[in-house]
Amino acid sequence: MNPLVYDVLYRLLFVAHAVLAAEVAGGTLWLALRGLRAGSNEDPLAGALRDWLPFALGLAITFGVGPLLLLQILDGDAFYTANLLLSHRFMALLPALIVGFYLLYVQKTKWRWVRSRGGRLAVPLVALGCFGYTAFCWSTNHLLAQSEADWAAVYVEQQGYLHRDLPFRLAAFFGVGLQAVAVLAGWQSPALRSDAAGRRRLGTLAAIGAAVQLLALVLHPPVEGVTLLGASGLLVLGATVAVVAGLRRGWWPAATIALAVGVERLAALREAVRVARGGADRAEEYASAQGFALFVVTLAGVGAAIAFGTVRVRRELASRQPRG
Amino acid sequence: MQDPTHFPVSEFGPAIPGMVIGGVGILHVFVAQFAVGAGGLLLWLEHLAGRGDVLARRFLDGFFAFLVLVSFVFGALTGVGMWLTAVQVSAPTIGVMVREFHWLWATEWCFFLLEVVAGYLFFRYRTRLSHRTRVILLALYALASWMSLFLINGILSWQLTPGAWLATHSVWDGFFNPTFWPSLIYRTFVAWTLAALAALFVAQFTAGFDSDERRRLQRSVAPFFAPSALMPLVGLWFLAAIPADSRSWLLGGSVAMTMFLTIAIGASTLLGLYAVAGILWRGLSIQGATAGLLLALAFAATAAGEFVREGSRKPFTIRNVLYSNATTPESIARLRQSGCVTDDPYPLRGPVPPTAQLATGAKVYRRLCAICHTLDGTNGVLHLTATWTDDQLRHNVAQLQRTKPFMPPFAGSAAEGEALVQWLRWHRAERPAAWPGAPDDAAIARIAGWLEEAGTAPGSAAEGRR
Repeated sequence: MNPLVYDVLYRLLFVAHAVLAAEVAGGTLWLALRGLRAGSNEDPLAGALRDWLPFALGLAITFGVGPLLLLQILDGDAFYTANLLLSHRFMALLPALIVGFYLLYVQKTKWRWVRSRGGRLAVPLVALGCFGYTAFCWSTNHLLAQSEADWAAVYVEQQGYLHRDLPFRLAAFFGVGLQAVAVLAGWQSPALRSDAAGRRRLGTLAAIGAAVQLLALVLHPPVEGVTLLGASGLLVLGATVAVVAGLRRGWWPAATIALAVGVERLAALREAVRVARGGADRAEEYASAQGFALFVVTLAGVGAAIAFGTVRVRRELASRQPRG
Repeated sequence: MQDPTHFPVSEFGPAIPGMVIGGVGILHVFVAQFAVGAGGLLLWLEHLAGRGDVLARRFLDGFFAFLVLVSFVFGALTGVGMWLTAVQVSAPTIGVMVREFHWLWATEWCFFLLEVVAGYLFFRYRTRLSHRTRVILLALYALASWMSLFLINGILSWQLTPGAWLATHSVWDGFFNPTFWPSLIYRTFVAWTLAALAALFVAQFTAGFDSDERRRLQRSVAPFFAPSALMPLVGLWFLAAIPADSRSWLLGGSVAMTMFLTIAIGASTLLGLYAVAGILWRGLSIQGATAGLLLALAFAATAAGEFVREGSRKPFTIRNVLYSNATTPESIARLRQSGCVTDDPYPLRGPVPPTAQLATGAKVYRRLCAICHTLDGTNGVLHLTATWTDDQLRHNVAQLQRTKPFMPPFAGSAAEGEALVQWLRWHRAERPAAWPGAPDDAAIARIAGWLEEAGTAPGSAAEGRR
């Protein structure tokens, strides 16, 4: 089997995971900010987010398992070492994610306190803290894995680890998150994209996210061996412009593709930084492993089953809509 | 794979790493097996609903929400937790498993995806779908959840009984290993039992059902207890398939393992008898407290069973491939020459011991012993060796695999063995500021002789009879 398969799968699954995870983070951030505002909290975007975020997180976690496996093939030793060095600080992301996940369901309930002004702020704020901590842990792990010179000191000092790239990575993540919210909320709730005011609003949200993401890229500390504002960086810039323009004009498929391209290029930059800092690529050692054919057949079968189930449900729901 | 010397070692205070992974593993296995069984149970209830059982439909819709909240959140994330915890406990073990089985893990991931999508489709639209579509979605969910059990069971059972894989390195020989079928069948029966118990428990506390309806629901889910009558037979099959030394520890050789096995059997027997004889056969009606107690018994059985499964692998994490302390059988001879901490890049934490030999001893302990022992907490080496003389310490460390059959052979040089002994003696003396620094060459020579005598193979009863 061609070792490139590992890299392709890693990128595809990472993009799917990153978009969904960013949507959850960005959506929770937006709901928390919304909760700061006085007055009614009911608007189509807030409603759509509360409705869909639990499913988005479930999918984000599912898609995240793929890169988790594939990273162990590409550079498992560094990944394991970073895990071990961060120890309980890293493992604490799991209870944080569990709490955050349940809070997304709490947001959907009709409990009086949840629907009060205090609840509308507190619940997404705590959930945001949980998802922010999760993003912090994964980014820290990824950066520590690239910083072999720091390993011994981190082990002895047991104070955790702060890399200078971290704020920029997290800013870019949340910037992508706001764009993902704008794009995916439109798919999840057609009412949002059906009128010009709604599209403008989503376009503005995406524009804020794009600005944050681009600032993070521009201000990112230089990385030896990687041109952050080269071809990939310019494609990221172009993609974010396309996302905003697409949303304002109601070209949702185009905006979605632009979002995916932008995230893929950011992921490519991220991977280039990892390799430039000495990250390994041991895919060739693993390429003779057995079972690939089973995986391909199963993936095709599962894809067909998901498509069949989804189409059947959609048709049934459509046939039960009142006519006229 | 990276030399395991180069991985840092995590510490968990007074707990041993096995307790951490055991704790996470027990929670995950309990919830995950419930989710697998629930797939089949829900499909059965929908089948009853299609035949006009309105009560089954009402209960099923609410029970699925419970499944989503428990399994899709807690079950999924504890599954990720298992992976990360396994890295904390033995990164080399996970590395070998990923190397051999990553495409099977990727295949399992496909079924996770199907589980999540089918599950959410049903959860969101269930009240608006026809019976046939509901059956399709639930069947997809049930298939996907059981297939994830099928796949992970093959990988995990391989650790204890790699079987023909040791000679062929074929992933299929490793997957369909000697304990694959008994463990898959046993876990499937456990899954159905857990799902039925959870359903009884939830039915007691769900509003909108009167006592007569709860009794009828009980009768509807009771058939899922029937296979538990066969669990003793399958358990015996599993015992027959595991290696002889592992079996001997469970049957008296290791008091801890024997105790856990007894708890697992005892709890399962009580539960099985009540479920099969009481609920299924006699149609006894149970209340919330009884349902809760039965679930607690099921949890105890699961917990004890998982400790037995993990413990029976000792001294290996992957039998004949990797010892618990991440040493391979092939590397022991080399490490006895070169030393196991010669190239260890990680300094010691905390106050530095007063001599270089003590610092080496501390590193040897960290590298070879800390995976299963603490210093003076759980399974503390100071407690275990408290009455040994100095030469007994040296002899037992050098011939570790003869000291206890579930210990690996000592994987360091004779000088490192003496350093470990001195470090333990220093702790016994309550860590004085001054300690003799010059190595005792005569003692090191004695250790070298004992190492040579014991060899590098794991301990065996045949060796003991020589």
